[in-house]
Amino acid sequence: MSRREFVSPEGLRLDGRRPDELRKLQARMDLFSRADGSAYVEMGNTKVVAAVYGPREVRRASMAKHDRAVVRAEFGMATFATGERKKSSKGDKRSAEVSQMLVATFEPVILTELFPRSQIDIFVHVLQADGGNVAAAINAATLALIDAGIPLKDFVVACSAGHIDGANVLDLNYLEDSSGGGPELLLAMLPTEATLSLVKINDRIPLDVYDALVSLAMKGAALIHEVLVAKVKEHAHQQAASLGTIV
Amino acid sequence: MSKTSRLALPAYASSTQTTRTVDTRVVVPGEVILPHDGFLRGHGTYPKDGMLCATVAGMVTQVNKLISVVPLKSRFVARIGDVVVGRIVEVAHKRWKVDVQSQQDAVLMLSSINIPGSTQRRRSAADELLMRSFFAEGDLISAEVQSLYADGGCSLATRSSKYGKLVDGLLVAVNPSLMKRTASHFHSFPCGIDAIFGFNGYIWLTPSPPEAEGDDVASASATGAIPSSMNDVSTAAADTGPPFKSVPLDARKAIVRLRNAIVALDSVFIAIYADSVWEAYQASLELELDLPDMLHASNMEAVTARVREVHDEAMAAAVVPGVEAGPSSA
Repeated sequence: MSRREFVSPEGLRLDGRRPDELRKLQARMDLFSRADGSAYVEMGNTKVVAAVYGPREVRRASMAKHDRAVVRAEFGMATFATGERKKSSKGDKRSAEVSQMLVATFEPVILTELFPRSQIDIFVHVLQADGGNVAAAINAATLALIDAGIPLKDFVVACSAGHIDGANVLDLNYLEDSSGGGPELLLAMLPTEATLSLVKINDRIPLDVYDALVSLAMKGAALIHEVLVAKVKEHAHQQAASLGTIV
Repeated sequence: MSKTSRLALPAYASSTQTTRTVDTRVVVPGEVILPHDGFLRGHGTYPKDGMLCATVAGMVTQVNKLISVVPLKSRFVARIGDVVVGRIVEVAHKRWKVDVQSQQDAVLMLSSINIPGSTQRRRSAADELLMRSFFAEGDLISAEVQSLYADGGCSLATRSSKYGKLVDGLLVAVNPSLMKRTASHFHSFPCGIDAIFGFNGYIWLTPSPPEAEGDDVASASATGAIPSSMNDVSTAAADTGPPFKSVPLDARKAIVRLRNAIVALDSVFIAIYADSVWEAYQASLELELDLPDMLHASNMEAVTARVREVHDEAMAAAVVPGVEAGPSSA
């Protein structure tokens, strides 16, 4: 079997994108009525929902922090998210790792000191997995937190980039991720100051490739930020128009 | 209240005059509002490199030199005097914990409730043992915010005949940001239903008490038949709470219609208060919608479209509303 060509001589990828192009990004906010905030994000065929509850009373008194809120996160994949049906991945090792990544990413960004003795819960569920699940999860969680009216120092936007067949490509889909064989870099960024809050690489890579991948992923994240800001503003305008005016 | 399309920063003629402006520009977390110097940092803002940045998505509000951003949606933020409806979640030492959709459970002290028959006396150890017969876990109460704690919690009080345990009715939970401060949060609808618009987004619907029997019945139904002495303990333990009255079918249908009207308003993000709810109720009658049909998305649109028209007209007609709607009547 011949090896697949991930970037054609014309410079196009399997799904027709250029190496530095993102997949189509779509978002919705305020899906669920009983969550305090919720959002849905599609990056290409990767589809993710996020729900945020809180700040609310802590469930276990022993968890309460007297000077700030506790942030908890739960990441899971639907049984039907992948090509082959799986048992729910909730609570397995990989999901637990991503949950911890979500907590570590959002805890410093949320102004937790405003809500002592409270708890903020973030639930993210992948409905369809086509690469970049964690990046989509972080982006969805950001929108859900904003929808919940929870104060954030900045957006958190995430994007992935990979090195396949000597080419640096942005926002890998499942095929490129699984059979491309190259290293993938996931990055979460606070866009207004371009500060990195999370970098994760699943393989060893040369330093110059690392630098190139980071700057490529940062460019992608900046583009995602533009789209999300537009979405948040549109949503806020809709809500404000519906309320008539601000009370 | 004046509106400006951009945040105008005039030199203030006198410091005694309060100027409140609401910017129609929406800011998002991390976005720079204006340079920090000369302005005070209010809610929803964050200083960064000499600039004031927003931390929530919303409109910029300026009161004199105080800049704040109010999120369009958030959990209930209590203020003293707010009328709330809450659910008892815990009976603790000399206090109840009450869920009010806020960042923490509210506290209702044993000393902040009316014990029937003995309103003015110290609470004894006997009262403490009887706490669960006053309010048990799961009970709904109406109350008023008495004080705020530094950590964001609040304490409630039911020391008025208006407040107390709620029975024989229906609770509707909506987004707290949609509640409006009005002169009274107690309202009687002409269809024979009373409503308590808890400012925390919990709304209580119950049949109006019969008028003929006067105040006694009203206050008794509000506070519930609470045992007043130790002698009543055995009966109190036997049946937790006051005897329930049966609610006639007509009243139940009216309650559900009001409830569905409120759910429709909540789903399309329209402010919820007596007038808007009544408008939606009437619209649903005019459209001849059956109770279950009211909850279909298209019907919710139809019902609320009319509310929106009336609402917009009222907004246009309102000349200059007060700087702050006064705290709801206690």
